[in-house]
Amino acid sequence: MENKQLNEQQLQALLRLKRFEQPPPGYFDDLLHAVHRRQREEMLRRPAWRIFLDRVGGFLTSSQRDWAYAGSLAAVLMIGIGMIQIALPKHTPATPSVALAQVAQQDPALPVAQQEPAFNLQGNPHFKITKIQRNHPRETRESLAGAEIPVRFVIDTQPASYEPSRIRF
Amino acid sequence: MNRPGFVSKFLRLLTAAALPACGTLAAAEPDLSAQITAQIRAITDKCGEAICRVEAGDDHGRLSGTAFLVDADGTLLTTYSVGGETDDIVVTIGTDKYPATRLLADARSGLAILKVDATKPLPFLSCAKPQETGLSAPVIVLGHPLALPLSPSLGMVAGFDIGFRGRFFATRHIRISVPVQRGQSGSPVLNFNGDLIGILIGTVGEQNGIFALPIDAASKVLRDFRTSGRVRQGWLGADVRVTEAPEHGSNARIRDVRKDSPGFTGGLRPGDVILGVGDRKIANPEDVLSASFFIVADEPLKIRISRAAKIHDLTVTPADSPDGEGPTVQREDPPFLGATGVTPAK
Repeated sequence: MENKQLNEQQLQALLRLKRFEQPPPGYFDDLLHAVHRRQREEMLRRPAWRIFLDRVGGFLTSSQRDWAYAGSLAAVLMIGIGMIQIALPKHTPATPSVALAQVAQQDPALPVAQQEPAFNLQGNPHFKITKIQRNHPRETRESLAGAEIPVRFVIDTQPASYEPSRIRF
Repeated sequence: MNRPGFVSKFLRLLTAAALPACGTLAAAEPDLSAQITAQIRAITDKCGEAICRVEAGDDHGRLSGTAFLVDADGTLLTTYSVGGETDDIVVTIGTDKYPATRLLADARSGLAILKVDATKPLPFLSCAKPQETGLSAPVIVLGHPLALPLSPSLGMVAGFDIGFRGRFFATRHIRISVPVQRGQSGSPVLNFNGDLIGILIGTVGEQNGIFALPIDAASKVLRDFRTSGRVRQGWLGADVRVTEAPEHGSNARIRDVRKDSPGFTGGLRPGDVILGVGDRKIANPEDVLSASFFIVADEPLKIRISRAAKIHDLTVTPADSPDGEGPTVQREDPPFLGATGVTPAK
């Protein structure tokens, strides 16, 4: 019992001592540099390929290095790039890729029901939307004059008798 | 007596008896959606042959819209934008194409009357009784959207408007909530009996609503053409404004009457409050504007007025406007809904 108490007294004295114990001046100022220096020294002792694998594995998963995820992601990326390249229309740089036409030319390969006719905005007959045609040679207005003009489907955006404040009847 | 046992037995017996009855009831009551589908299909089958696609040409190319037959001789109604200023008009009735001629084009009502030479009696649409259509009544619009076959659209009457966004119509139009497509200009609007109640004149918003000219207004234009060969807009020569002292439910007071006008000859005087024009009840100047569309020149017209709180019935014979135009409507302060009027033509 006496030994125990003595040990406790010694312990308390030690704790009192530790309470007032402080690191030397500048210890925290140099702490960050010291940690980085120790890390570099450890890295020098390890091969570079091992360090690279550790970094990539840490990037992919935090808990495990699962190379299956990385491999599958790479495969999906490759397939996606391949599909996009297949889907994009090929155009030869030699011919103009964009031409502005006065009216949309009907593609004879398409059925009539699928063709998008031009239409008037706000019922104004003097305004017409034109289609931008790709892969057609640039044509002049004169050469388009004889082209077949598509039917426009009518629905008025306002009644015919829709007049401003002064209306005659 | 073991009550819980007795009660449970009773409930079981009741359930056993009620379930077959419920099943029978459910079987007997038809599905509402099936009813609506069947009704729309029946109306489409009944009226579809009288509705046509119209193709015509103008300075900007070919256009396409919808028209419908109103008699067996081949008279069609469509909108002014489809048949008013176009040429080379071709009407497709069923599988047959007919060249059509324009009989009348009235920009004010937005109508055009076409005619095809029919070799046989053609099916046509019958008109609903006037003022039969009420708010929230279900309606069907049958037309030819885009390059597609006849297609029904189900909608609902959403209101009756004399104007929109500060501008006036020639007469009160029916506003209908119904999705429509380009190419359906001129489509007939039918009630759930398959009777004609209006004609699609224009859209509201993003083509999810329409304004329809009521069929009685279209009938008036057709009647004018058949009797006189043109639209006979009647003119009274009265200037109507909002009054702050309404009488007998109307605040449409006559402010001025031209001395040489049919209204003055018929007995109208400044200060009279208009209560009725023909068989149309008047509550405000907008009602006067709407009712005046139906005034026919040289046809006697009954006008009910209130003068010094007493009701008088006058008979007036409208005339053609002196310069070919009828009375004008001018906006006043406060804006449209507060004060509008009808002023004499210059």
